[in-house]
Amino acid sequence: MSQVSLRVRMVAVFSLLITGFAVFMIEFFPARMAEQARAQAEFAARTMTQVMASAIAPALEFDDSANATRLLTHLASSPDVKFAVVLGDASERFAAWHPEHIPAELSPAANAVDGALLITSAPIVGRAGGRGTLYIGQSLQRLLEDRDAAREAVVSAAIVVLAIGLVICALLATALVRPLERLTTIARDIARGAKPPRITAISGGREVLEMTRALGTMLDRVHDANRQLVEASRHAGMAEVATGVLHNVGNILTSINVGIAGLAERAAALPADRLRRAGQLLAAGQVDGTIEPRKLDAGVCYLGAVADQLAADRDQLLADVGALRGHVDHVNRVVAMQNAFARTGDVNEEVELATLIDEALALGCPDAERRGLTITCAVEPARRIMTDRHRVLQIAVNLLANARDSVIAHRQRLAPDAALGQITVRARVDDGWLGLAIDDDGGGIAPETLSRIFAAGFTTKVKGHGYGLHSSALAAEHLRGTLRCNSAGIDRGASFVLRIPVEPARSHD
Amino acid sequence: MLLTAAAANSASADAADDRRALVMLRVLAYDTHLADRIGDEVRFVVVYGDGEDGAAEARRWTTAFGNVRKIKVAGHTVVVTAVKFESPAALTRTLSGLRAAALLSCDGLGKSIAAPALASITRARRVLSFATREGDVVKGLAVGIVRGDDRDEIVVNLTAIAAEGVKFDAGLLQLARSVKEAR
Repeated sequence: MSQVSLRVRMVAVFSLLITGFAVFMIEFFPARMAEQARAQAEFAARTMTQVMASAIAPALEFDDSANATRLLTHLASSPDVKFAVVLGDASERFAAWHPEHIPAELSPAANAVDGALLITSAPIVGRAGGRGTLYIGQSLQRLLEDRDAAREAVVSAAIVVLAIGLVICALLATALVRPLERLTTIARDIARGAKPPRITAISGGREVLEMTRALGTMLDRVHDANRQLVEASRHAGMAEVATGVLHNVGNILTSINVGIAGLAERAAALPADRLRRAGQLLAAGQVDGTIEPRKLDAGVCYLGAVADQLAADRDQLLADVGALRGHVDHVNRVVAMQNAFARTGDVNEEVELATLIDEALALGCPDAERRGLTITCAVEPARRIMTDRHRVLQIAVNLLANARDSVIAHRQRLAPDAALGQITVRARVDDGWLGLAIDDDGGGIAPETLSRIFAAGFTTKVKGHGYGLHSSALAAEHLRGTLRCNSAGIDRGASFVLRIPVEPARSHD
Repeated sequence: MLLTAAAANSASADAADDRRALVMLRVLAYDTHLADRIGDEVRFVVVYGDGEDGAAEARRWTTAFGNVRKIKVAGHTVVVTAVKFESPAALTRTLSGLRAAALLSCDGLGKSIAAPALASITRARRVLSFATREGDVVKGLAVGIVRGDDRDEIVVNLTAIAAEGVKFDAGLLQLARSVKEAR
């Protein structure tokens, strides 16, 4: 029914109304007219019978049947009267007119209908006590014919009214629905993405005109609101990107700072003083002009040792710089990835699962050993997969950083010397799905906050922004995977499980 | 056989008298002014003349009226009284004393008083006069119940009817045959 058009509904409703009215006319008016005609006929027949009975009374009383018969013959002036009979006090026939039409049985009722014959009767009471009954039979055939004729006329009129009504209904429905259809077409075009047109007045009466104006005003406002929404969305997107960049870069900057600190320590530990002292010794021997061979050999050995140290330090420094360059590269990728966060078609690359986890640990928990954290890894060895490395890395770094912060905060809050600080990382590929689980024995999550843990802006950290888990969940969704969180409650640790589909590395094919 | 035939003729005559007596009472009932002329009872006077024949005729009518005494006229009991004609003044007194509503002139009364004279008395006393001969009606009496070929016939003298203060229902007049009074 909801799929039926308004026009069809209106025509159907009006048709039903008109049909009902027509049926009412057909059924009611002829029946009413026939009823009235019959009542009038009965009244006339009853009156005529009573008058005739009064007139016949003397004839009956004076036993003048010839006179009574003569009086009855006056009924011939009424074409509907078929017979008349006068019965005496003992029901003997006293006089009759057209006796061949008299039924075998005459009802004692005042009015009786025998087929199409209305039989009325009236008592005859003479002044001197003579009694009898007059029966007059009147045909209802003309009445029935008139009723049928009236019915036919009403049916014809009803059919004409019905036809005219249907045409008017169709025209009226069209006139009423056409403006709505135009408005519907406009609304449908807008829904399909067409530019809202400038709606001019649509003929259809005051209501349609007001609705058209209202729709035009609404479209203008929607247009303005849409423009404002686009602007706000752009700003929100910029803020989202900026927040993501800041958050993820912040995680990486921790590693960079640790790396820089290591570089500084190594640079400070370079044997420059020892090299300077060796130079001074050689210079002193050159002044004396006498350099003992033993001392010369010792100096050469010393210089060789210093050179070896310097070479080792150089290699380490180069390695650290390489690591820092990798971190900076990751920062660049994070920035680029955040800028293209909403875009699809990210490039998958081949990566070893263990390496990916090591990178995540280096970025997410760069100072784990210094902070006394115990990280246990159970990673499927030598497993190479094709995935969006940086997006997975972003998720893993976020989860590890959160685990680190939770564990550290929990330990500081309870007992700094307590044997806490366990983070377990498990990663394996099973049936085309990478499962990465990061468990910790940190502060845990209250049950009432579990449902909001991935909401934007929600955080349990004092200095948190509520963006890390939100962006991680979005990234997991972007990878067509899921990110789930479980916790037995406050102080009972937490577990995050990432599941994403991965492709096997080509080298394994 | 002759006795049997005579008895049959006598019975038939009695039935005819009864029927005519009944018709007279019914005619009286069709007088719409009857209530103005009667008391508690409807008094019907049979006037007969001298002689044995007159008395016999009076008895015959008294018997006939007695046979139909169950008939009530306008709801009133009918009392029939036979009165021998003595003189017009005596008859006038009798009619007044009885407050008679109707009078039947026996056939033999013509020997004692002529119909016009009797009519003048009934008209003066407002008494409806009946006769059994059409000639008496023509001579001034109001209603005649005369024997026809196969049935009794009602003959009315409209002048006499009006003069006697009677107004008959039209239905009765439809059944009656009107005659003109001879002057």
